[in-house]
Formats: sequence, structure tokens, C-alpha cells
Amino acid sequence: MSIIIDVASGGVRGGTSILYAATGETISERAGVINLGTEGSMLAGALAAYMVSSQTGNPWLGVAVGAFAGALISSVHAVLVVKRKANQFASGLAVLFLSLGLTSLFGSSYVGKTITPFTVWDVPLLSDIPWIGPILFQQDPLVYLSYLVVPLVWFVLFRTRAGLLVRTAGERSEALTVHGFSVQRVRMAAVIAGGVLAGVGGAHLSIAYTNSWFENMVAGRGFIAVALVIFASWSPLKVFGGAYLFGAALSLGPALQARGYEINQFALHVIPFVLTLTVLAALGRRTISAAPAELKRVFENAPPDP
Amino acid sequence: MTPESTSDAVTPLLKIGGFTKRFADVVANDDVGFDVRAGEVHALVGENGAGKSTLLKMIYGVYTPDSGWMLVEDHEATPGSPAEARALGIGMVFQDLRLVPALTVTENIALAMDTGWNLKLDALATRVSDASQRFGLGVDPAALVRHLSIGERQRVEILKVLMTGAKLVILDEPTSVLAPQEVDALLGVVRHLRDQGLGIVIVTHKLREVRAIADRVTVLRGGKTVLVGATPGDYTDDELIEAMVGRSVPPLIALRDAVDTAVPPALLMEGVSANSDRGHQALTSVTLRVYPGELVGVAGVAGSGQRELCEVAMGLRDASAGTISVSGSPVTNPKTAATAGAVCVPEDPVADSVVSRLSVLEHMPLDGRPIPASGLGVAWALIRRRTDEANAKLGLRMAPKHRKLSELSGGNIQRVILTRELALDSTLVVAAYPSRGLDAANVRRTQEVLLEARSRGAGVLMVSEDLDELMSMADRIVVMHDGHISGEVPAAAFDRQRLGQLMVEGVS
Repeated sequence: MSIIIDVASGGVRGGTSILYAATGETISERAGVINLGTEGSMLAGALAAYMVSSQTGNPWLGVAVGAFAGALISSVHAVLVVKRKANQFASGLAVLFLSLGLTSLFGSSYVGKTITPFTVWDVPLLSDIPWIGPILFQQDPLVYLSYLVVPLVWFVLFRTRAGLLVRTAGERSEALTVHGFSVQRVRMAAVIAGGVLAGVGGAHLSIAYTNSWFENMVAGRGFIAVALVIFASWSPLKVFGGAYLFGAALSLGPALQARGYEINQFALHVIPFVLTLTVLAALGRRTISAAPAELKRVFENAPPDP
Repeated sequence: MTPESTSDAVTPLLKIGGFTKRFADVVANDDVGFDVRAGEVHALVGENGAGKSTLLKMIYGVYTPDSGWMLVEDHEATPGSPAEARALGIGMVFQDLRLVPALTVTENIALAMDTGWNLKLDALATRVSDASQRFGLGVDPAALVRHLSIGERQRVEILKVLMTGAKLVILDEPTSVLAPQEVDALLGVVRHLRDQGLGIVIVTHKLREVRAIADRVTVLRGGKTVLVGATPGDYTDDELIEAMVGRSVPPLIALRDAVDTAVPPALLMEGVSANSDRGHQALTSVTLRVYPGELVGVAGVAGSGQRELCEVAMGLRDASAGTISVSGSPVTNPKTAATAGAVCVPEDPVADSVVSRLSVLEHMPLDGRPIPASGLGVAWALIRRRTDEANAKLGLRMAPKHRKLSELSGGNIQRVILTRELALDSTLVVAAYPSRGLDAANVRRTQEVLLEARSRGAGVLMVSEDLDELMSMADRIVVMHDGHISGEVPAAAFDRQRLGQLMVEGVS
């Protein structure tokens, strides 16, 4: 039975970077902006966190700088899309390739460097609970942080004034204007907040999960995160399930290999994506009706509901 | 000019005087003044372009008057922005409701209120519910706005305005979007608010509503006040219409001759179904006959299939089932309809029949008939002559022939299309909302032209959202509900209540 616990706890660990990024993307899309540059923010966050923690030996400082780097990349997208009214898909992809190029350039000398990573820390008492303990409470501090951050994002979106403004920007931006708010400011803030979380997600990848840096290490997780937002019908709480499912698919291969099963290396890499696509194909039609109206405008070039 | 000291027993909630506003060379408001007391309903009436919206926008701080003064509860105050107007206790319910459909009623109200960072939605919902009860609005705080009818949404807007502290509520043509039952409900709400001591300004151009609700009435015409704070009971209908229009209008007399049903109908639709642009079924086995010399009115809540009905009749939209014929000839495309003698005033002329960069003259031959030719070219001289004749015959005072349509207002565009279509010698006239965007004098002239078409033996199918208009003109009214004809009422049995029920519920 230990393989189940291995896969589940690996799922939590491997899914956390996607969980952060998808939560951030939820904020952005709730405000009416789709950010395909999420992958780019994760890359920037991963490299910045790796650089800082290798220089200073302090992984927390690494996370902070990683969050900042993620915000910086997403602010490029925010300016292009919100201020310059650029096409959201084109801008997101351009920002991704910008980040991919920059991180490859500046990160080449960090490949193979040693760092002080986050280490697993068992939560007293809770980690002793059978099944749940090893899966949820024998993890690194960034995983624990996500347990707090994601519900907090839910609370902010659905119970605070800031969240109401974000959702109004995504549902009917004219209503913000009528009440004297700036749609542009709300959207800029939402996209940049999304970048912060994507940066933290990237940091988890490089200084808590793999403890290494290499070119294009995010490898599509940012896109999976964007897809998960739809799967989770734009709710931060529902993102948990999707992120951990993807993480579990990632950790299934290594868990089997460790028990002596021979698995094709390429199949291992492809399984998580096939799984995610299957789930999305099954649920896509049902969840799309929950899409923020202004987001539908981006997709369909159609006016929002009357 | 300075504010006069008000020595009246009651201090008005709002008093304005000398309001003047110019746009370029047009004087939109010229020395306008009136006052609103607490606990009264003040109707503001006037034709399109009389200056009502300019006046409202100045009161609500959207425009700043060029000159004039404004007193709010005896204190000099001219709001510089809507936010300032709201702070003064002035609330406005716009025609295009500004709610977010995906949010709940409470969340929509929270957006307008000063809530602090934490919305405390549960506490707010209780306040919404209390206020809704106190003002008799019947609003469910937890409902999603997208699930509410237009009338309910309007009440949410009113509640929002009240909860942000308005003492004076301005309703901008609130009844224009409502079905008859909803109008009655709204007037009930307005009465209740008045009894609670609020001041209400209601903008309308329907006399019936002025009679039903207004304690006082102010009439605007051409940017000036004609009547100020008059008691409606002191005036007859004709006097009020004359105040609005500037000349007395004799009552419209629709001669309802017996219709000869032995001849082939001008329009015959049998079991016609059709899809909307989005691919949903918009018409379900509609059977309809319009005989020569008959005017058939089509009533219904907007979006019940009226648009598709007109388009199918004109061959502009393919029917998925059933047959259509005009004066006995089958209609399959716009050309067959035009050849059979059908003309059409579409629901949205700007979208459907206007080439914005062409002039008024260039639009005249684009009526679906062959363009008059002179050798290889177009016979412009002939078209010019016909245009002048059409203009003289219809008397809708079309814009000058050289003007581009892109330079014209909605009402002027409507007049161009009306003149072009109705001057033709037709066997069938399909007119969707023909008086939309027109002022009272042109509305009347358009109605006369349609009745003339009927008298000379054309069949007329007329869609309108104004039941009074239909009831005064039609020989028969068919009611559309959700894509089918839910009922048919002959002139002798016209009854608002019954028609309204057919419109809203599909049964009477």
C-alpha cells in the first residue's frame, strides 16, 4: 500500500508549483485577462529563487525574489494587454518566449550549482496521522504555505471589496466605470498578483522540489496551470484537486520505477499531459458556462450577457 | 441670476433655475427650472430631443450647466460629478441597467456602497432584505442578477440607489423596457416610495403614465419649459400633447373596414419555423395571414421571435419548415419578396439597411428593386426626382439628399428608410418598430402613412412594443411568446390586461 501513499504525497509535492500558478491565473482570469505568460513568470521565479538562495543560502529570500521576478514578467503582459490593448494570446506567448530567452541566458552559469533548498519538515502531531499525515504533513514549508494562500485567495476574491472589484472587471467592466473605479488599474493589479503566485510556484520547483536549475525547467507546467483554471471553473479551491492529480501523474512513474518496473522514459513524460487533456476533454463543456463574461469576449469577440 | 429665497411652507428637495446648456451651436437647455418636493412624483415629459436627458445629466453631475443655479434642500450645490450628486442624495436609475449579471443582488449593491475592505456579505444581505421590505421592492438578496427579469433588475437598481442614501430618485424612462404587468408593478413601487417621503422624478413620454402616477408635471419642448410643476388633473390629454408637440394633434382615426378574406392574402405563412443567428429555434410553426387592406399588429416582449418573423416574411432568413407567400407568389429569397411587392422597415435599420458612407440620395435606389438605368449608368436624375416626390408624399422631412448616413442621428436614419420603403407602391408592408427614435410629430405621421397604405389595399404587418399604438391602429393583434403565436385578438376585444398576459405568460 505504500505505493499509494508515495504517489499521493508525491502528487502534493509535484502539484504545488502548478497549484500556485493556477491560483494566480485564477485571479487574472477573474479580472478578464488570460495570461499564457504564466509559464514565463514561473521560469523567472524559478531562476531568481535559485540564484538568490545559492548566493545567500536563504531559501525564504529566494522565494521573495522569485515572487518579484514573476510579478515583473507578468507586468509586461499587463502593460501590453491592459494599457496597449494588445491581443491577449499573442502577448502571453511573446512574454513566455522573452522569459525563456532571458532565463536561459542568465541561468546558464547556475546549472549544476549547489543551493540551500527547503527541506521536508514534519508537522508535529498531524504528521503522525495514518495516511493523511505522510501525504499532507510531511512536506516542505512552501507546501504548507499553499494550504494558507489558496483559501486566502478564495476569501479575497469572494468576500472582500478588492475581490468584488476584480470579479466585476471580469464580468462587466462598465459597471466598475459607473461606480468611479478604474478598470485598467484593477486588471493590472490582478495580472501582477497572478505573476507573484506564478513566481512562487516557479520557486517551489527549483528550490523545494527538484533542487536544481536547468533551461526550460518548467516544461509546460504553466500551460497546465492555465488549463486547470478552466477545469476548476475559476474557483481557487477547486484548483487543489486538479493540481494534485497532475502531480500524482508525475510521481507515478518514479514510484513504479523505484519498485523495479521498466517504463519508457518518454511515456513517463507524456502521461501527465495525456491525463490532464483527458480530464479537460471530459469536463470542458460543463465548466465553460462559469467563465467570466469578459473572458468570453476575449475568446469569442462577443459582447457580454445583457 | 441668484437663488430666490424660498418662502414656501415646504422646502423643496431640489430646486433648479436658469439652467442653460449649449453644445456647439445647439441650445439643449434654455433657462430651464423646476422643483421637486419630498413625497411627490414629478413627471418630466417631452419629445425626443426636447432636452430631457441633458437636464438630467446636469442634475446628476455628468454635464456642468453653462449657467443656472441648483438648490438641494435649500443649500446651493451644483454637482461636478455623479459621485458628488450621490453624496448630495440624488440617485439615478438609468435606462440601460448597470448591474453585473454574474453577481448576486447583494454583491451588486456592495459595489455601489462604502463597505470597507471586508464586505461582510451576510450582514449586508440582511440590510438589503430589510430595505427591500421597507420600500416594498420584493428583492431577494441572494439571487443572481442574471436570473432576474428586467423588471426585477430595475427594482434592484432602485434599491441600490436608495441604500446609498438617495432622497431624490430620478427614473429615466423606466417603463420603456417593461411589459404592461411590469409597468403596473413599477408604478406601484413608485407610489410606495413617494409615501415613504422620497422625491421621485420620472421621465416618460406616455400620457397614461403621467395620469396614473404624477402629482405634478413639467413639460420640455425644444430645450425650454412649456409647463412647470403643473397639476396634470388641470389639463386635458390634448392640452398636454399640445404642450409637448407644439400643435394640437387630432386623435388618430383608424377606419376599420371589413376585410375581404376571399382574395389571396398579402402575406401567408403556414407552419413556419426558423432558427436565430445563434442557431436556436426562434420561430416554431407560425401560421399567419395578413389580408389586403388589413393591418395586423404583432405584440410581444422583445426577443420573442419578432425579428425572425419579419426576416422570414421578407425572404431574408431561411425557414427551416413551412411555406411563405406574398400575394400568392412563394417567397424564398429577398428578390422574390420584392418582386411580389413586399417592402420592409427593419428592426435595426442602422445595422440592416444602411451603408454609412453613402448619401441619402444613394440609399434611395437600394430598395431591392432593379436600379433605374440610363444607358450603362444609373439614372440619377430620375432617382432625384422620385426622391423629391417620395419626400413630399410622405412628409417625414428627410435629411438633405447629399448628407452621408454616417452623419445622421438614429431618428433621421429611420426617416430615410421609412420614406424609401413606404413611398413604394407595395402589396405588403412589414414594419418593425416603425416609430422607434422618432419624435411625436413624426410618430404620428408614420402611423398615418401606415394607415394610408392599409386603406389603399396593402396588407400591413406591424411590430411594436407600444401596446397603445397597436391598439389604436390594428385590425387584429397577434401576440408572440417564445417563438410562437400565443394568441390573436380582434380589434373589438382589445384589452391591455389580456394582451399583457399573452405576452408574458403565453396564455390568457
